[in-house]
Amino acid sequence: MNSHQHRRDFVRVLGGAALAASVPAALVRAQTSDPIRIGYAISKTGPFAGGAASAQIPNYKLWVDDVNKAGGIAVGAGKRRVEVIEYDDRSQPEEAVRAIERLVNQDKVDFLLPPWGTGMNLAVAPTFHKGNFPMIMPSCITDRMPELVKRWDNMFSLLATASSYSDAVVAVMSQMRAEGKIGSKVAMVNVTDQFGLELAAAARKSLKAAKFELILDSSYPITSQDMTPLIADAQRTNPDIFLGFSYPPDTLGLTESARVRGFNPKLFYAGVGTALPLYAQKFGANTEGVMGPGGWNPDSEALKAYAARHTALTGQPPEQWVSALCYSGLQALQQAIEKVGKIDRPAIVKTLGSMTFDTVAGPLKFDNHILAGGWTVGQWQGGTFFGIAPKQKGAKAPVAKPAWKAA
Amino acid sequence: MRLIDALIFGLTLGGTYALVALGLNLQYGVARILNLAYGEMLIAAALGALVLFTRSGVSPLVSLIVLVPLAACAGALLYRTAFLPLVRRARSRDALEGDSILSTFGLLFVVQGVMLAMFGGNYMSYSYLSVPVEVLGTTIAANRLLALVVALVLGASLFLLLTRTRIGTALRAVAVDPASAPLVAIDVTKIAMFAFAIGTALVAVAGVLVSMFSTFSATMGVLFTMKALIVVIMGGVGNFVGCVFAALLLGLSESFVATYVDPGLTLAANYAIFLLVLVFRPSGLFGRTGR
Repeated sequence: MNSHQHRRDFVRVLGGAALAASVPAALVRAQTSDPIRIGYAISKTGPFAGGAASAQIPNYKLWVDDVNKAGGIAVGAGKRRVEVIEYDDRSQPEEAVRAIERLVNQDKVDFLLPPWGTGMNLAVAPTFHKGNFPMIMPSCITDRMPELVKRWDNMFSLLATASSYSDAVVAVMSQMRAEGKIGSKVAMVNVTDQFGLELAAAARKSLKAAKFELILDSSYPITSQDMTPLIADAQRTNPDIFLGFSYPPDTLGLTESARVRGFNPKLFYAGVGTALPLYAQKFGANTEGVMGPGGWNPDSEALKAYAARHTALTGQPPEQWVSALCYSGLQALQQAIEKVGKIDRPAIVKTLGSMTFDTVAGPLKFDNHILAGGWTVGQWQGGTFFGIAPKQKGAKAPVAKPAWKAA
Repeated sequence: MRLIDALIFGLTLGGTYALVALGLNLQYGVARILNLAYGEMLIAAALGALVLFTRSGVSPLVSLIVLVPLAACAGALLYRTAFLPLVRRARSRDALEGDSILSTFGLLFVVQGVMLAMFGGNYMSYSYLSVPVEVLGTTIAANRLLALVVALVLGASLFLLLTRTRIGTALRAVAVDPASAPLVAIDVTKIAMFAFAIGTALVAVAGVLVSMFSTFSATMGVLFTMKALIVVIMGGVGNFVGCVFAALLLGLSESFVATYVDPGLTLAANYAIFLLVLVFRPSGLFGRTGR
């Protein structure tokens, strides 16, 4: 009986030793060769496809390409390549939630990248939170961001709150008025969708506080085909300043109508889309002086190299608001993973909240989960959409807009 | 001044709507194919014009010479291969309508998928004839005025074609009663194919002209299908005077509401008019009562 037991123990020990000898080897091999699985669901079809394709999808692709060209992400001892699983959410929140759940449960991804747009991000946020997936959002603008990051501590935003964008442009206006460059009369239009409504509401408040005279305040439904009536209306009031909180097709439409009708306020601000390469392609030298949300200062070597890589991979230059932010957010994720040294998502989330990251756009730090020091107002100056607010290193001084030239 | 502005903007917007709707009216009204891929076809033509203009510098007006016959051939081929079996199989007009909705719904995704694969989901836009033109003291873009003029000319020619020519009579006969048309020696298949092909040619014209002034993407087709469908149903299916009239009415109501009430209510005004027409004249403003 005793000898029996001994023998059994001996076998067990031997087996255990063999296991012990084999397991670490298997683990080590897994770490160096098994790719990190990254999944995302984004709008490739439907009404959001245009937005998603402008900055987010190209930068997801560029980052994955850059990481894999460099051999992968350094986790522990070795480097692990990145493998991507991509779904189309068809611009439908319920489809996005389903796709994210499939990525987590079936595809067993290690990390998720966020979808495009505020509504979509909010729709999938609970699923991200359930699995402690770090969620660094490049395209979610809302005034409720400070509350949201309290509820979902895995959430980080690369954009500021909605009101900070309109507050910033009103601050620029105040400064230009003080310098005698512009007057006080404001014509404002907005699209009746979440982004337009929030920015216009915030602008109304800060315009009043800064004692600007709001002589036209109108809104239009999304998918409006012709912006000429809005521009004609604004033109009749003869304002010093035109503010348009618009979406890309309307941004182009407003600019086109203003140019055709010779509507020449000293300050012309249009919404999402002013930073697109398409905007510069369409309007050329006429972009000079146009303001919009976002901006950047691509003077650094890192950003110049980034823009060149972007152009080489996607065939067009980066958009000049969200692009570099989106890319640097992904770099922050990578550096947080490398810092933690293993796929430990809660620890990575914690690191994201505390560390300062070295990115193409310079040092990146989340201040209470919201990117500190992001550009809020940009202005086309000499073919580049430079950041002019907030006042920080690299900010250009705002100029009054010259009159439109004949195309 | 304000009145003239609203009038001119309304007419040009309505002209665009009419232009977009004419082809669908022919396809649905005569060939009896309710083409849900209509908007995608429009975007395809717009993309064709954009590529020719931005890459080879071909003026969109010149590209019409290539794109329109190409679209007509594609339409004829499509009708022959994809819709003729449905027509042959259909026991009634309603059955054909149902079948054509299903098959063109599929076609929508095929066309959209091909465009997405080739051009991506990005917004696209270029400027052509975007020069100011003075009309009655107000300024509009020449390309929008051109869309209005082309819509009016095409609408009138289609009206004349249908009412004054032999083939027009055949087209109307097929539209009214495809079962009895063969009794007077009309080749229904050929006439329906002709109507569908001309409809496709018209959507190409619309796509090219619309591309001159609007920002579009590969996934935006459904917006145009919706607008065209509303115009066609409002004007009376198969009626071209009604189609142009309904489109101008929608354009004018949008611009007057925008100018005198609130630009935020344009869409509501559009749908209110559509609803009123549906309630009081279910077969359209110019439609025959009870089909």
